Parts: sequence; structure tokens; C-alpha cells
Amino acid sequence: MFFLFSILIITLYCLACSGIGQLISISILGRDYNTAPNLPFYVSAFILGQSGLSIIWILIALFGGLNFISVSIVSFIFISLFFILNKNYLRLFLNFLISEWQWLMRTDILFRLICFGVLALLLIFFLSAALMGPVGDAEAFYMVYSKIISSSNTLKAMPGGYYDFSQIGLLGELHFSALMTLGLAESSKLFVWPLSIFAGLMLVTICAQINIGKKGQWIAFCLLFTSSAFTNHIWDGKVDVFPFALSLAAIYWILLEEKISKTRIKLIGLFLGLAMVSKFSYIPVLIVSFSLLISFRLYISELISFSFIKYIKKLIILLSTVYVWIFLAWIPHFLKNWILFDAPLAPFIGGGSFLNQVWFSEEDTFWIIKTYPFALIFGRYPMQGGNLTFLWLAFLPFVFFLPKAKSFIRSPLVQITITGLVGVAVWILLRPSVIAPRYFFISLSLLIPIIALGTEVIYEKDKRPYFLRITILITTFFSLLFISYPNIKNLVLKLTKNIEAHHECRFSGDYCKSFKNFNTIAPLGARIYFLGYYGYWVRPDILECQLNSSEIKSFDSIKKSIDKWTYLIEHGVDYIILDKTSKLHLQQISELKSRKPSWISLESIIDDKNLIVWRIQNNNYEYYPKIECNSNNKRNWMLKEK
Amino acid sequence: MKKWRKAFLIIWMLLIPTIYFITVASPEKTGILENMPEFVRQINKFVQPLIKRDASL
Repeated sequence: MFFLFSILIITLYCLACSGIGQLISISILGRDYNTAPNLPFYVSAFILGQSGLSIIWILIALFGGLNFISVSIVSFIFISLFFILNKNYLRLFLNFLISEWQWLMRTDILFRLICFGVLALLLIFFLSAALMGPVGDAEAFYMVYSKIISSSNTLKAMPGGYYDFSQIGLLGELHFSALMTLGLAESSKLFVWPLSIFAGLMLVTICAQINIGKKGQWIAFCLLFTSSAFTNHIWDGKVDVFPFALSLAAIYWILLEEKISKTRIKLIGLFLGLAMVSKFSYIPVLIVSFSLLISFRLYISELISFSFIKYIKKLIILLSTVYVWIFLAWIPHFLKNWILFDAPLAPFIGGGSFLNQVWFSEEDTFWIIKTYPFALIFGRYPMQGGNLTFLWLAFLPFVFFLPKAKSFIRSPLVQITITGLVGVAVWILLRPSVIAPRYFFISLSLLIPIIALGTEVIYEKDKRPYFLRITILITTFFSLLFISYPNIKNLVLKLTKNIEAHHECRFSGDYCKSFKNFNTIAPLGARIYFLGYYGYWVRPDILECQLNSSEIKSFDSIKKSIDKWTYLIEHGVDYIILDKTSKLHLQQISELKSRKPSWISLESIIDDKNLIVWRIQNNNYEYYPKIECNSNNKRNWMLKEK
Repeated sequence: MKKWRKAFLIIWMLLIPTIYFITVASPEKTGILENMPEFVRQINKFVQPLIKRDASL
């Protein structure tokens, strides 16, 4: 029943996103709106609208008003707007589905198998997103932060060790928070699933724009959905799909017509700005490669009567407009960081230092660079978080069989491929040791259409393509199998293991049970010292009351062990929670425990596969808690001096 | 298309998933791919040291 409720809420929420997206698009495009094609316009409007809605949530949450009533009212307004604006929308969408289905039924059986395989894959990701709990970074930060915002109704700096990370753009996280206020909990991450489909449709539209046929479009869709760097984040609760979808929409508007109109360039700037806010790693990649693409497009539109000075003048005007709109898209983010951290330009200026990351040694970094593009496809580096599909490499030789373009520079396919390559090069230059395809996936995805076209050409035009077709089919099925197997196994295993159980940890990781157990023991407003990362399942009041970032820094700077224990007592810490899988934290706790004063006793209340929880008991009345965590309304827990 | 080209394309297309299966779809590392079947572990015990550089760092 809850499953159906989640689907209903997500569907209505998507309509609200489309409503506000269309409103923004129409307002910006003005007269150009009439010339906009239909279905891609709606896809783009949805992608823009979800960011618009998220900005509204940020503004509401900054003033402590993100609750069931405000989210329902705002959503209702935009759902109504959607129905007012789109009396024919349903028919358009149905027509699209019917025509796709008819095409699918007419195509050859081998290709139909690939298409149905991809559709089955989408269903698996849907089930994973709807049923499974958050995983990895989402269990540590993204969805934990959303949970805190939703339970306190307020956007505030993240309590605990992830304080600095809350300076990032929060365009994805606020959706989860809003959906949580509507009662969705971890299934709020299901919202990423329709967004990923819309991103896929945007890629398909871009393929259509550059004259790739239906089969090529399906192949591009398949290449996207077999890239674990993309698909891992459809269901795990992270937000990497958001900037990707926004950047693809920007590409769509850039390629729409040869000449970029004054109104369209605003929309492009807005999409790019929002993509950059959603994921900071996209900033260098988008600025360099998309500026190049825009200058390419302008050059082509000016080619008939080319004048260098005129071209430069126009380019400056065009790029200035883009940057102005990029800046506008950043304003809510600046405002958020100004209010929360007194540093609008954080984390770049006056914020945390997590942006300058170096993951590997010089020697290993050199190895990684040497092994591109294989590192992107076969790499298994720590924190890599997924790969580009191996189909990209398997189908790469087909590119050499493509008919030569009449004019390389005029070919949109060449333009976006160069844009993609430049994006990858920029990333390698700026962050050579950070081998994470998800951080610049937009550039990698721009290398997909050329492969899709090559595959389509081989599949369609060769005279006796039987063996090639069969091999394409086999290779594609291997990719579908490898990408779906872990999800299927996870779902089936968890379902069969817990067939009797109806508890909410049925499809979630091991931390769920451990923390649910702890939640039943700890009183409201209990303070914890959390030596671990994955705290999603901890009760919201405990998450809010945990030892905060400045307290952790002060605690870490204390040298004497006895002073550390005194600090914990005086700051009202009731429990120490240790994640057994974290070697760093295991070392910290063993040092702390080995020098425990005699007047402190630790009672182990939970000790399972993942966690140990100790209750701290103080037997020395000389030291007592000077800080406590309380709240007037059982929300918005605050630290107060006693 | 010439036969040798076809043969090359077919071998190449089948080679890539095979390499992927051996190098990536391995249960030794954490992440979703750790859920691969046990026989993959057995294959990898033999094959991986031959081709894989240690990236566990």
C-alpha cells in the first residue's frame, strides 16, 4: 500500500515540477515559445521545473517553513498550473507512447529484444529506488541531511562531521526533504527515477537533432542506462543525476537551431548555472566545453557572411548573457550560504576545504591518466562510484565505418563530440587524480551519440549483417545482465530472506536494524559522539543533537585523554557509537578507551556486526553536563547551556 | 564489408565484456559489484593477478 502511495505522490510531484518548469520556460522564452517543439519542450520544462521547485523549498526552509502544509499548497498550485497550461498534454504523451510502441512492434525481433531488455532494466531501477534504503554517501550525508531538514522543517547547517559539506548546492536534497514531509521517508529518492528517464529522453532528443535514427536513439539510451556511473545514482539516494539532466537540457537548447536566439541563450545560461549549483565538479567542465560549443554554433550561423570582428562582438554578447544567467541561477545558493554560514561564496571563499581533493599519489595518478579511457570503463578505484558502459568501447570501432561528414565543422555530431572530449580533457587537467566518471558524466555522455550512430549504421546498412547483429545483441545483453544482476540479487535476496518480516529494514542495509534498535533505547534529545559515517537510520532528534562540527574539532584538539572524557561529559554526551567497519574510527576509539579514567564506565548496549554503542556513565560528580539538547516542539533541536 | 573486418569487430565486441567480467565484475571490492556470483571470485583469483595493477591504495 505504501508502495502505491509513494508512486502516487511522486507522480503528482512530477506534475508540479512540470507546471513550474513550463511557467519559467514560457516566461523566459516569450515569443520563442511558439516555435518550441512539443515533447522535448515538456521534457526540458520538467528538468528546469524540478530545480525551480527546489529553489522554492530552499527559500521556504531557510525560514523554517518546510512542512506538510507548505509543501502541499505549493505543489497543489503548480499541479493546477500544469493542468491549466496543458489541456492537450496527456494526448501528446499518449501519442508519443503509441508511436514508439508501434515502431517497436515493426522493428526486427533482435532489436526488439534489446529494447525490451532496456525497459526491463528501467523497471529494476524503479524497484530498487522505491524499495531499497539509501546506500553509501547517501546513507552518510545526502539523505541524512534531507531527513534533518524535513524533521526540523528548517534548512540549517548539517550537524555532526558533515558541517562543511552543507555548503554545497542543495537542489537535489531539498526534493527528498519536501517529499519526506509528505510522508515518503527513504522512498523519496524514487523521484530521481523519473528524472533519469527524462535525462535519457533528452539524450535521445539530442540524438534526433543530429539526425540519428530511431535505432541509434535506442542504442544511445541503452548506452546511458548501462553506465553504472549514471545508474548507481538513480536508486542510491545521491544527486548526481540532477546536474546531468540540466546540462543535457542546455545542450538541447544550444543545438535546437543553428542560430541561438537572445531568449534561448538565457534559458541555456539558467540550465548551466543550475547544473553547476547541483554539482560543483561540473563548473570547470561546463564553462570551458560549453563556451566552446556556443562559439562553434555562432561561428556556423555567421559563416555565410563571416566577419571576425562581428563574430567576436556577438560571441562576447552571447557569452556575457550566458554568464549573467548562470550568476542568476546561483543567487539562491549564495543567499543560503550567506544566511547559514555568513559566507555567500562558500565553499569557494570562506568555507570548508573539501574542494581541493587529491585521491591518489603522483605515481598512481600518472597510471590512471595513462590508462584513459580504459580507466573509465574497467577502473575499480576506491570512490570511483561507477563506470562508463563497456558498450562504448565495444562499439567504438563502428565509428571508423561512418560515412565522412560533408563539413566537419558544420556537423553537430562533431561539435558535441569535441565538446565532450574537451570536457574530459579539462577534468583530467584540473583533477587528474579524481577518477570518478560521475563528476563529469555530461562530457562522457556527449561521446555516446557518435557511437550510437556508428552502431546504427553497421546494424542497418551492412548487406549481410547477421553475425554482426547477433554479436551486437549478445554484447548488449551482457551489459544489461552485468548492470542489473547486483540489483536483482539484492532485491530478490532481501525479499526471500525477510519474506515473513514486514519491518522497514527489509530492503535496507545492515545499519538499519542496528540504528532502529538504538532508537528504541535512546531518550529524546540524547547526545551522541558518532564515530562512523552512515547515520541515516538514526532518529532525527539524535541526529540534530549529535556532537557538532566545532565540538568535534575542539575534542580532536585536546591532547590529554582525561580531558577528552571530561569534555564529553561536560558536553552532555550520553552515547558513543562506533562503526566497526571504519578502521580510522576503530583506532580512535581504542586509543580513547585505553586511557579511560576510573570514574567513567562504559556500558555496551548494542554490539552487532556493524555497530557498538556504549552508554557513558559518569561516577564523578565534580564533572557534570553543562550543555543539553532540547526543543520546545519536539522539532528543531538546539544546544543550550544549562 | 570485408570478412576480416567483420571477424575483427565480432572478436572485439565479445572481448570487451569478457575483460569487463574479469576485471570489474569481481566480488573482492566493495560496492554493488561485490554481489557477483561466487564462481567469479574463483575465476578472478587466477586471472586478476595476471592483468590487474593493485589500485586498492
